[in-house]
Amino acid sequence: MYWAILSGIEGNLAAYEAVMQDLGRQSTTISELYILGDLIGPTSSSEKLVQRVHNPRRGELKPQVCQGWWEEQCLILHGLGRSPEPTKLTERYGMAMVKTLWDSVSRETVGWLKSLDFGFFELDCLLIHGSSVSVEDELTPETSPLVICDRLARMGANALFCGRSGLTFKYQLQGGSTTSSLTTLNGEQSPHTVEAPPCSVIGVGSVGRIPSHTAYTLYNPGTGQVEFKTVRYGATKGFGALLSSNALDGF
Amino acid sequence: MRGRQAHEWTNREINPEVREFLAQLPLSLWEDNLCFVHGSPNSQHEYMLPEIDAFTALERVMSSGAEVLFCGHTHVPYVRTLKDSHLQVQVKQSSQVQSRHFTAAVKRIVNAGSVGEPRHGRPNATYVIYETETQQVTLREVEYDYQKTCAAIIEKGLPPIFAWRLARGLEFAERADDPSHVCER
Repeated sequence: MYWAILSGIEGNLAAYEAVMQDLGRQSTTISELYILGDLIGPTSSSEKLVQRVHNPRRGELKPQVCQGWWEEQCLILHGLGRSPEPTKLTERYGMAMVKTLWDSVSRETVGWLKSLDFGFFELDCLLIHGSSVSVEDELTPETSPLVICDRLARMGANALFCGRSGLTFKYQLQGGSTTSSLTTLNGEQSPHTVEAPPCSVIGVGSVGRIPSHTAYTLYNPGTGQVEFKTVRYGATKGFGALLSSNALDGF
Repeated sequence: MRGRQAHEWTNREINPEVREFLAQLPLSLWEDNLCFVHGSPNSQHEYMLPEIDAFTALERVMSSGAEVLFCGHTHVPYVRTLKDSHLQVQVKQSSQVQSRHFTAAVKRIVNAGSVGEPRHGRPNATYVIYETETQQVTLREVEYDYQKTCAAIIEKGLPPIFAWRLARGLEFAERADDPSHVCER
């Protein structure tokens, strides 16, 4: 029994179709399908993709979708975000992107995006686009272990699945400690050693960011096994052929 | 409700010169390897309580880049020292496995308490003295005529509970208060 965890589709309908086909070929049972944000992007196929997600085909799971960076930018454009101006969007992509993104998503879809959760908490796992801080917070293999501790501690999770970086990786905090002492007006507590809890961050990859190449993650919540899947699709592989590979891993 | 009353009263009382002065204040101050903030390096609204998780505390000091992080906001003075800190990490990416070891020098959080609205269980004003040569911190508690201040609070027509909590050095929160409320100012 696995969870399929996707992120960063970014309006790339062809990439999403490739992943859904790949999931259909899996020999293991997929019990849940998560999309950790960035479902939409500044593309003309975003609207079709949303409709595709709303209407899964026979035998497909209906995805559970949370907000990502692109959804947040879209909501800001419509005055529904947590920031009054699309500053991050224009800083990164220029003013022209405001219209491109606006034109990519219908008002009806904007209403649906507004209703999406910021993340999911299942068992001891936090599934979210960025981190427990924001959709923009990008956890990578280079992130400080203290930051990793903080992001997990904020939600009391043992594992955090995220998609902001677009990378597939498994970051495992294996142990550690610090000696803490506290002095207040009432006196001094003896120093004591605090052990770091073992915990993990899993970058689930990006489905649509890189043309003709998708990456997503399978997770077995029973065993903790993580499997990164890559699928090549489209003209570069000839006749729309799909090639799938995986990297198996357990923790 | 009483918080809003206090905000509205303060808004009426503050003159333009003071408002202008307050508006230009920085969110943090630096002095060599010392950093001074109100709440935390993340936000002036974040409470770094004495009992916060040790690694969370360490992350806050490290994110400031300081050796000693001075703060307030909780209105409870304390000194938290974190030493011998180390973490072991393994990162797997693209079939490569990398192990990393993290260590940190001694870090401290010093909470200056509160002069005018203490919450350590007594009505006295609290502050800290930091000796830069020896890095020694002294928590100070000073008695004063707080009852005069309590009387002035009542006289100004502010909620009497403000005088009550000052007289006891305690926070007061009714059950009706929303415990899930997060200040987003």
